[in-house]
Amino acid sequence: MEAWQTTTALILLYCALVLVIGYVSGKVLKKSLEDFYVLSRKAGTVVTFLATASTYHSAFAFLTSVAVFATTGITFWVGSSAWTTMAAVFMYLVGVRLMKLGRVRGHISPADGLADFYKSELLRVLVAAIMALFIIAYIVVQAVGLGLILDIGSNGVIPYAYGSLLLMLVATVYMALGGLRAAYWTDVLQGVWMYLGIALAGVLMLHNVAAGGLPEVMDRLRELNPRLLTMNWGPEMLLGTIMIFGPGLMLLPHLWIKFYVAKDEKVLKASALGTALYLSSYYIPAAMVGLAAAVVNAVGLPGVLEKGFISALTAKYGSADAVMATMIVKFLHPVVAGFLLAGAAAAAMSTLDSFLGSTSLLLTRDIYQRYIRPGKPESEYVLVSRLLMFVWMLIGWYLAVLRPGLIFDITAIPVAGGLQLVPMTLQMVIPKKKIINKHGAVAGFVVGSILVTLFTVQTGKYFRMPITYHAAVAGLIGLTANIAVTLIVSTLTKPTQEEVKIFEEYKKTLYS
Amino acid sequence: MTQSAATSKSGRRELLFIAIVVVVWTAAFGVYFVNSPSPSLWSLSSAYAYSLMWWLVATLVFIAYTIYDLAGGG
Repeated sequence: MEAWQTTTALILLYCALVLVIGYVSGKVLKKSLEDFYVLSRKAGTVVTFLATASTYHSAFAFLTSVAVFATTGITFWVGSSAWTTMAAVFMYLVGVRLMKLGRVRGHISPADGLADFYKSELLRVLVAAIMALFIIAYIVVQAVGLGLILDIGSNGVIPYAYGSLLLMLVATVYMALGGLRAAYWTDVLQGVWMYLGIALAGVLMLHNVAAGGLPEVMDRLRELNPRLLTMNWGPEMLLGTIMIFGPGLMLLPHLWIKFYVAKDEKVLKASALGTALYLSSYYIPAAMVGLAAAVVNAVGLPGVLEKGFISALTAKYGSADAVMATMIVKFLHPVVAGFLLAGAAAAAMSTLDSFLGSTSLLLTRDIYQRYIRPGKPESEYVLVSRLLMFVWMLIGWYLAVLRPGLIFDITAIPVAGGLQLVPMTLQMVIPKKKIINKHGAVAGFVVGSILVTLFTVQTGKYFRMPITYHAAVAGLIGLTANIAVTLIVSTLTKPTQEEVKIFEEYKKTLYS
Repeated sequence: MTQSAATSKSGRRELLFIAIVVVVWTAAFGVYFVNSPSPSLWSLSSAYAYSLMWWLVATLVFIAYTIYDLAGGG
C-alpha cells in the first residue's frame, strides 16, 4: 500500500465514523426544532464545552493558524492568545444571560431573541438574512480546508474540488440525519481528535526540524528572519482581531445557539473556562509547527522540502493554507499523517456542521416558519431545514472552488459582521436602563454591516472603494459607526409601549 | 439571604470581574513596549515571552474568578 493510500484510507475511515454517529443520533432525534437544534437544553459540561470549543476552532485553527505562524511569526500568538480568552470571557458574561433569557422565553436562534426583545419583525428578518449571507464566507473557508486536506493527503489523486465536495457531503449528510444533536455528538469526538492531533503534530514536527526544540527554532529564526519573532500588526489590527474573533465570533448564530444547549448556569460557566483553556492552548503546538515551517522555508531540507516551499504552495493553491497539510505528509509516517489530517478534517467539519445547522435554523425558523408556511407540522420544518443545509453546502463549495484566498482573511469577514450585533445584544442582556430601541438597533446594525462590506479588502473591491482594510479593522470601523447611529436614532425616536413592557419583563428575568 | 440580595451580590462580583478583564486585556498591548527579537526567557524573543506570560496571567485570573464565582463568591 502506498503512503497516500494509507493516509487517505484513514481520513475516509474517520468520515465513516462520523456518519455512523450522525445516523445513530438521528435515531434518537425527536421531530421537534427544539431537539433538532438545542438538544432540548439538557447538555452537560463535557458536551457544551467540547461542542463550543470544537465549533469555534475550524479549518482556521488547524490550517491557517500554521500558515500565518509560518509567514508572520509570533504575531499570530499575540493576537490569538488574547482573542480566544476574550471569546471565553464573553461567553461567561454574556452567554449565561442569553441562556437564562432563552430558557424563560423559548429562544432558539439569535433572531428569535433580538426580535422578541425589540418587538421587531424587521429586525428578525434582517438579522436572519444578513447573518445567513455573512456565514457563507465561513462555509467557504471550511470547504477550502477540506479540499486541501484530501488533495494533499491523497497526493493529488483526489483533486481539491472533488475532495472538498466529498468531505462537505459527509458533514451535510450526518447533519441532515441527526440535526445539531449529531453535530454535538460528533463535536465531542472531533474536539478531542483535533486537540490530540495538533499536540502530536507540534511535538513531532519540532523534533523533525530542530533537535534542540523551540529554543533552537528561535535561535535559527533570529539569524534567518528576526521579523518573525516580533509583533508585526499595529495596535488597531490587534484590537480589531480581539474584537471580531472574541465577541464577534461568539455572537454568530452557530456559537450563539450553543449557549441555549447548556442545562444550567454552572454548566455554561464551567464550559466557558474549559473553552478558554482549550482554545488558547491549542495555538501553542500550532506555533511550533508554523515556526518550524518558517525555518524549513528559509533554508530547505534536502529530499523533503525545498527552500521557499511556501511560495510554491501559495502559487499552486492560491494561499499559504496548505503549509500544515504539506508538512504533515512530508515529515510524518503515513499512519500518523492520516490521523492528523483526519484531525484537520474534524476541525473543519465540526464548524461546518454547526454553520449548516445554524444557517438553516435562521432561514427555517425565522423566515419560512413565520412568513412562508406558518402553522405546519414540525416535521415539515425539519425537512426544509435539511434541504437548506444541502443548498448552503453547495453554494459554499462552489465559491471555494474559485480559491478565494487565505482562510484567515476570509474568516475575518463574517466575524466582523457578527461584531455588529454587539450593541443591540448588550442592551438585551443588560436591561437596566432603556437606551437602545428597535429603530436604533435596526439602523445601527444596517449601517455597521454595510460599512464592514465596503471597507473590507475582499468585498470593497466590488464597490470600487478607494480605501479598504483587513476585515478586523473594517469591523472596528463598522462597530464605531454602528454604536453612534444606534444611540443617535434611539435618542431621536421613542420605543413602542410594547417594547417598554418587554424590557421590564427582561429586567425581571435577569435581576429578580 | 433574599433573592434580590443574592442578585445584587453576584452583580457586584460581575462588575469586579469586568474591571479586571479590562485591565488585563489592556495589558496585552504591552507587547509593543518589548517588541524585539532579542533572546530572553528560554531563548524566546522578548515579545513572545511577554505574550506567553500575559496569557498565563490572563488564564490564571479567569480560573481564579470562575472558582470564586461558582463557589458563590466566597
